[in-house]
Amino acid sequence: MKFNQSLQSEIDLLDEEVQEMVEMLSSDDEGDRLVAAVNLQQECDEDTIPFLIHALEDSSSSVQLIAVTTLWEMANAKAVLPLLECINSKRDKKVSDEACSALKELINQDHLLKLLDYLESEDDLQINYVLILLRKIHDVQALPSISPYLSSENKNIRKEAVITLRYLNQLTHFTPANTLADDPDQEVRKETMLTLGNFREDCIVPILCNSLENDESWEVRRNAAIALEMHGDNSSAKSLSSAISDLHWQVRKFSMRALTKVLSEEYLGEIVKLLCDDYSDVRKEAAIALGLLGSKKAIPSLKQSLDDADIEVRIQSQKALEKLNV
Amino acid sequence: MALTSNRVDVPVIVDESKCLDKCKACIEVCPLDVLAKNPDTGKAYMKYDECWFCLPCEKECPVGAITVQIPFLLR
Repeated sequence: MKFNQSLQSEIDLLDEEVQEMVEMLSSDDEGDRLVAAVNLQQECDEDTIPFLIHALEDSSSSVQLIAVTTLWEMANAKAVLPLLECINSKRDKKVSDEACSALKELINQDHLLKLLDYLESEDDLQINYVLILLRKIHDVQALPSISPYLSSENKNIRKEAVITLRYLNQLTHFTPANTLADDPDQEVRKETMLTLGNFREDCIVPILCNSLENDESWEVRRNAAIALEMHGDNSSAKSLSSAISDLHWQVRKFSMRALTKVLSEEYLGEIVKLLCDDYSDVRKEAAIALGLLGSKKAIPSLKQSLDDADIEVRIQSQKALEKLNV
Repeated sequence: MALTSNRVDVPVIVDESKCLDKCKACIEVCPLDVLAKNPDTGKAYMKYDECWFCLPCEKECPVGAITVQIPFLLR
C-alpha cells in the first residue's frame, strides 16, 4: 500500500537506516512488509508512528498485528484513534484483541466521547470491546450510553454491559440492572450478582437473597453470597444461614463468610456443623465465624477442630479459642 | 559454545518454507546469540546448541516459523 504525499515527505526527515525500513512497508511483497514492521518494532523510533499507523490498514493481518503491538509499546496518544478503528469484526480477531489490550493502557478521560461514538455501532464485537474499554475510564457519564445494551439480544453484550456498570464511579443504583438477575443466560446472572453487590438500594438485598436460594447455577449462588457479603445487611442473615448448607462447597464457603458480617447466636448450630465439612475452606470460615460469634457453646467443637487435618483450620480454631479466652 | 553438528536434532526448529530471507527478528532477540542466517539459503538456523528455552525467538517470529522443543523435564 503506497504512502500518501504527506507521509512521503516525512520519509525524508528520517534517519537513512529507518528510511529503508519505512520504504519497505509500502512494498508489494508481504514478506518485505512483515520484515519492515518487525524492524520498526525493534527500532521503536517515535518518528515512525505515522508509518505504523499507515500499516494498520495493510492487507496482511500479520503486518497489522505487528503494527498494533509496536504502537502499544511506543504508548503514544496519537495511536489511540487509529487503534480504535481496529476493534471491530472486519479485522482479524487477533488484531482486534491486541488493539483492545493496547487501548486499555492508552485511553484516558479525554477519549470518553470518542468511545461513546464508537459504542453506537451495529457491530456486536465493536460494542463488546468499547464496553470493556469504558471500564478504564470509570466515568458515570457513560451510563446513558451503556444502559440500552443491558437489554441487548446478544448475551455477551449484556454481560459486558452489566460488568461495566460496576466500574462506574459514583453509581450507587441502577434499576434496569436489577432485572438481569433473572436473565436466561447464566454468565449474565453471574456478573449481575457482583454488580449488584456494588450497588446500594433497598430492593437489592432481597434480589440477591432470592438468587442465593433459588438459582440453579452454583456460580450464580456463590456470586450472590459474595455480593451479600459486600452489603452486610441483617435482612440477608436468614438466606445465608440456609445457604451454608448448600450442595456446592463454594456457595457454603462464601455464604459462611458473608454470614460473619451479620452473625447471631441463633445460627450457632448450623455453623458448628460446618466444622465437619468435607472442604477445609468451609471448615476454616466456620472456625473464624465461631470466634467472632463469641459463644462459649462453641468451645468443645473448636477444641475438636484443633486436630483438623488442615493447618489453616487448626490455626483459625486456635485463634477462635483465644478470642473466647480458652 | 559447541557448534551444532546435526541441524535436525536441535531445540530450535525453523520452518524454512515460512522463514523470511530479510528478517532477523529471532537472531536479534536471542539472548545467547545462538541463531544465525544460513548464507546459502538466507534462512535462520540454530548455529550453537546452547538454548535456554526462553522462547522470544518463537514469539517474535512474524510468520510463526520457529518452534522451540522444550525438554520434557523443563515443561
